[in-house]
Amino acid sequence: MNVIAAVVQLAAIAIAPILPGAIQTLKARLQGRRGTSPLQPYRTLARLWRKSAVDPEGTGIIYRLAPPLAAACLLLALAICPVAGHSGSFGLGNDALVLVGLLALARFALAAAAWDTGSGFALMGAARDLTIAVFGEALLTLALLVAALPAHSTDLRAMVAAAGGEHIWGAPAHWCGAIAFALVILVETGRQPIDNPDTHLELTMIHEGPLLEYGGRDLAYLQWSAATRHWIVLVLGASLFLPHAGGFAASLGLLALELAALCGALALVETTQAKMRILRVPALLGVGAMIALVGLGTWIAGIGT
Amino acid sequence: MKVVGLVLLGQPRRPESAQAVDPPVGMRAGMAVLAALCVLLGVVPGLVVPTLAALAPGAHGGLARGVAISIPGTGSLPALALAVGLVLLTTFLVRLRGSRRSAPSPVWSCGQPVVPALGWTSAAFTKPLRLVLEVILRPQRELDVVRSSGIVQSVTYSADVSSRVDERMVEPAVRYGLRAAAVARRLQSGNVRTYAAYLLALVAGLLVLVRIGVLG
Repeated sequence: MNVIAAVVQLAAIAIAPILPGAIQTLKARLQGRRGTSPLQPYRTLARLWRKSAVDPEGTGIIYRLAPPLAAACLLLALAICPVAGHSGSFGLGNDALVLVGLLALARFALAAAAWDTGSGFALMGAARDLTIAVFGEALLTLALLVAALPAHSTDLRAMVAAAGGEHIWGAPAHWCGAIAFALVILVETGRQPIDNPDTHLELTMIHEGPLLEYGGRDLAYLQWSAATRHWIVLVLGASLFLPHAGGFAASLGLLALELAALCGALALVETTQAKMRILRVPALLGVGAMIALVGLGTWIAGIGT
Repeated sequence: MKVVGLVLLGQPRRPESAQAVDPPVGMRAGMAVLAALCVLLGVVPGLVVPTLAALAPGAHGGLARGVAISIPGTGSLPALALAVGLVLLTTFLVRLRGSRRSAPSPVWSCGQPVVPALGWTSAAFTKPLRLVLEVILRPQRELDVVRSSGIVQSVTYSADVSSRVDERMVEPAVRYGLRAAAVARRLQSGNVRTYAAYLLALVAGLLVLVRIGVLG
């Protein structure tokens, strides 16, 4: 099973871009447009791969190193994030907090690159991205902590195993964690109402801002990283806070279905919600943190355990 | 982030900093050693963490000493493997990217030339965070614009984030503490007879307490 899990984890390198592609297609359909094919991200990546990279004036090694570093962080995160409760033995462990750290390092690399270019738009995006990250990462850690309580461990495999079964749904902490993690998914995938991935106006960009100066294979790395972020948080959300199936094969099948359902839910949220004022976002995340803390309190009080 | 970005990254913000030269090796070595120690601690936590864990109250058995730490109850933290993996993967991706580059182009800022005066400042970078935390931090800003006959003569700007903890808790505590100390100082007259009177009063007070049964 672990070998199959390792194969799926490595295959995620190729599968991940279909998630944002599918969300875009579904969103277009919901809005009454024909939209692009779900395979569009692959075409974009192939096109970018054939182009030469851009070298803005006055940039240095940080600018050039940021895309490979961000992509390497996400590759490691893929190896750490188990699928259907199993993970290949890559010798990297499966600690949930390491995953948080890797996602943060990728974000740090991009913000440093924004400083290196000195472009106002890139820095504006990076400043907003980091502001939201301050709260988003705290919320991610809290939600993971709530999921780690029943497992008595921050090992993601143990956490996924503890999230299975029916009795867990009797614990209010699990529901609170699920709500908090839903907000985390919106933050980490950079979707409305927090960020607008479709925007082409520099002033409204958050995650896209630091990407402005990149082209060619650098941009391909960064776009792949964004797609892989989708994969990691959606797989984590499905494994930790959605129902599980019995066997490994059934779990994998159910995981695929749940991923599709989550993509549909994200498309629906994007269609119905307008983008929030950026200063309201931390308040929204604060509400999420409160819910997670209430969950933590109910668990400590022993309700439903 | 903003310190690293402002000081080290991007184009020189002033002509003076464009001509900056590195200090001699001796001055850099001190910082390099400290930084290297930080990296070492992060990469090989097994050197220190078991010793620290053994110091914790109620610790028994302790953790195995080694390169990687495997703390029970976590998904294990092979920091060295993670660091090596990160370096190797980054190198691989840099190689995979190749060195094909187009000619250097100016940084995009809607067609405007990027000049140092338009560069981002530390205050600009942290602005969203300050706005968000305004409720808690309560930053104070003062902007004085001196005009004469419609022409701005000078602009002074000052911003300050005062520490709430200092203002509300530390400063009152210091104030009351000093006031209490002033009262206590009056007791210390330095006169032997006064101290003898204090001792006498203390003994008499204790005797009274024993008599009425509060003590013993």
